[in-house]
Amino acid sequence: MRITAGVIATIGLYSVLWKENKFYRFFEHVFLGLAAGWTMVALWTETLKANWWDKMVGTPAETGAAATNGMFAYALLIPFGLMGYFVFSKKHNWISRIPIGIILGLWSGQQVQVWWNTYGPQIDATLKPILPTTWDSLIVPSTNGLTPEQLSQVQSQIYFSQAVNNFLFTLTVVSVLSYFLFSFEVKSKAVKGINTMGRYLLMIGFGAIFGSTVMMRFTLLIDRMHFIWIEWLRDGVFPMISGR
Amino acid sequence: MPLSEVYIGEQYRDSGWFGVFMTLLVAAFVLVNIRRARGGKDLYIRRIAGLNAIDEAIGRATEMGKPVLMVPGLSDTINAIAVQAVNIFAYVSRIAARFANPILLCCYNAAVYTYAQETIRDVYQSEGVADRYDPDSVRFVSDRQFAFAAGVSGLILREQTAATFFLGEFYAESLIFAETANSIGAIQVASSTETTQTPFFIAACDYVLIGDEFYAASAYLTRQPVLVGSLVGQDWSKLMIILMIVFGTILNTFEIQGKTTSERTKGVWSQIPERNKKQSDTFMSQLFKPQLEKVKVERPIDPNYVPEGEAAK
Amino acid sequence: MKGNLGEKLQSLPKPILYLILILATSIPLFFPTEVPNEPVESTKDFYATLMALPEGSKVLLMSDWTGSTRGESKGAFRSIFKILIRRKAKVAIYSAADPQAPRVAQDAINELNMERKRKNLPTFDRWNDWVNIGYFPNAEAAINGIANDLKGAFGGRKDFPPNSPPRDVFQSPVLQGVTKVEDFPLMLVITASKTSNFAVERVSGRTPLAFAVTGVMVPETQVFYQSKQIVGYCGGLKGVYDLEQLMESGVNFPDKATAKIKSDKLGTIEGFPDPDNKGQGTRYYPTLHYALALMIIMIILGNVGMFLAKRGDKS
Repeated sequence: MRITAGVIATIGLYSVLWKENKFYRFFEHVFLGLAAGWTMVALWTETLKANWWDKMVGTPAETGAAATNGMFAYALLIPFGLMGYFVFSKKHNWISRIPIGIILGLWSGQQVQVWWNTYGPQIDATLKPILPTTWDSLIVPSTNGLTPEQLSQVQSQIYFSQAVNNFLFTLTVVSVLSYFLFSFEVKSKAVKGINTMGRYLLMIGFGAIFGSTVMMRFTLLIDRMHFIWIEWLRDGVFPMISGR
Repeated sequence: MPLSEVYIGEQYRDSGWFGVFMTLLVAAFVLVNIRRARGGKDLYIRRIAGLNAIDEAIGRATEMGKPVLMVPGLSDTINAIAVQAVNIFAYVSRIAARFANPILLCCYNAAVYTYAQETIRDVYQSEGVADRYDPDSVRFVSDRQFAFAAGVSGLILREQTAATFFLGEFYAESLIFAETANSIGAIQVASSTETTQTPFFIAACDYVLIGDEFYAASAYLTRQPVLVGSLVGQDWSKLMIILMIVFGTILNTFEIQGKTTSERTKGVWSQIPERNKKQSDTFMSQLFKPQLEKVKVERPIDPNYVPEGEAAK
Repeated sequence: MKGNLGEKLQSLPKPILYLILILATSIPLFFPTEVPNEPVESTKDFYATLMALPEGSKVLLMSDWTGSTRGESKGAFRSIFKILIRRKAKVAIYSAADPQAPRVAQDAINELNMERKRKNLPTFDRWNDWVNIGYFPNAEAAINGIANDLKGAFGGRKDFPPNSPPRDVFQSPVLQGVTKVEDFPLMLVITASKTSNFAVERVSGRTPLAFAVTGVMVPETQVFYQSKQIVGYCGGLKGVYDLEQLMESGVNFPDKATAKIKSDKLGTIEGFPDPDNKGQGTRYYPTLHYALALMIIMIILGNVGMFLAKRGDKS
């Protein structure tokens, strides 16, 4: 039953591919309504109740759980929340800027705090050696049948092919970064060339992202098809009709 | 009484002193440049192609007498990205207000809605055409991703917008917007701070601001000293990182050729049998890795202390 | 239809294109095949990390997927739980991206438990083996709270022990002795949104991170993997398929010479052959190849069409 409802809704939403129709509109509105209703409930049960109401009034003792004390200081948050509604007032709309200023300030402070934790290790990982440490072989030799000592010896070396890889990697990072410099007037041809190269490399990167996204979208479509043909038709409806 | 070891600056523990130093340096670059810009120094900013398209797009909308639609992204809370987008939209609205062109600004988040409402009203007032401002032109649509996408697409189709601006945080809905606007032939200027969505905008929109160009946009358009100063400050930081990468790569390349007999883990050196140097043995790598023994204090623990909420166990 | 072949090629009616696409993504589903596959390094590391967990480990799991990415995330979720159950791990689940996510995760575990019951295997019980801590709004602030003050963030949250009213989550066996995020030997993130970035920003360097992400997020997640901010990840449908194959054959298992999946970096990691390992990945992956092949053909035809049309114009 549940799966059948799901199948009808799936077909309904995909029917827009044919053309915009009432069937599609109906399911779009069902979808919008469900989302809105769910959010209203979740806003109270998941956000306000747990993070604010319970902390303000406290919770009674339950089996095994001790009662917690309420903290009435949480009530002081109400006026800040209400300030947001002043945006509808023509005269006092400046008041609505206060809570927004607070949120914005908190957010910006957090960004400063995490900046290095995010990018520090990435800069460190970019500093790769660009000259090989050995010329015994141009590419990484096959590791089949090596003893662990020989294997770790091979792994601790940098071969020519790896060095080339690393060089391309570093070059990409530097040229793309230099493309995003806005305040330096570029006159030298070499730097301009690096900038242009940065732009082309960016486009190649975007192409790769595009590809992996398309792959994901196909997967989601395949999942829907599997849902209709296999889960509903083959494993749900067919056994029911054939009386098995 | 047992002792516990506590590290000073727990929040920065993961970064180490070098991280804190770099963060402060970047902040200093920005502050110095804001000062320079305030001091009346004319700081150079290069031309960004996508931004010149803004005037063109509004001009066309005016010719056709159709509205300009703007979306400041789908940020969860109000953040610098949404504010940045609304600042660019303030510029767009200013031109639209002069030509009495209708605008539509669709918001995903209540706080962004409040901020946008305020900003756009200010724009109309400062242009001296407060009576042309329609409070309904800034709208809150929904705060559910695909409900928002459906709502905005509906608006684009019904109002037959002539120009659309999608600037800010966009996710999976980016292509829905761009395709819908494309299908009615609107001029589109777009930018997503999410790298993964930029390709879709490039495929479907007329002009795209890539990555940091989005942040440069409002400095370029308004020339406000604070914005220009921070943009130049950021450029200095990027240049510093480029130099660091070039210097570090060269240093690592030569350092790694040698062998080593000692190893440092968590700030402590130990003797090991001779082996080839690894990347983690290099000077730069050591500099980047936080060394935990730096600042340590010992605090007494009360053995009778029971954490709150565990009393009933 | 007027015009030369090139213009015809370029203006195929859309409904026909959609019909071809639907056929290409439906028919292969009825004919399961096996695609030759070599798991990528990142998934191997992901699998190795899970298998290296000592039995009874406590794992923090951020489940941030819902029905809209079911095709990829559910497969990853199921495979990960099959491994976690085998490692007898205890899992604390919370969500920061979508209010529906905790419910979706719960349903997926219930489904696994039903399958286990049918085979007379012990079930993975709520409260004793896993707790549902619920949804936290404002992902960025929530993850910051969890990283810096776990007791405060999870404090007051309740879950259901068997046959009894809800109780504080810290009383469940899963969170016994846990006071900070470092107490978990591993934090897993199964996500379809950028909450994984927040996890890197806040939690990396404190406790090991491993991600299961959707196909779109693979390029950005690869960066974190390369800079060793995360120990491994399973990306998109390919990742799910890799994971299912790794579960089946292990790495360098039973020994390196005869192993189906080999690795120089990793030691011997057990696999556990079981027909049930084959899940969403094995079912969808071959079909994906047909869909992608179709797209490549369409792109080529479109370009040939454009070329022919242009030449037609000139002559």
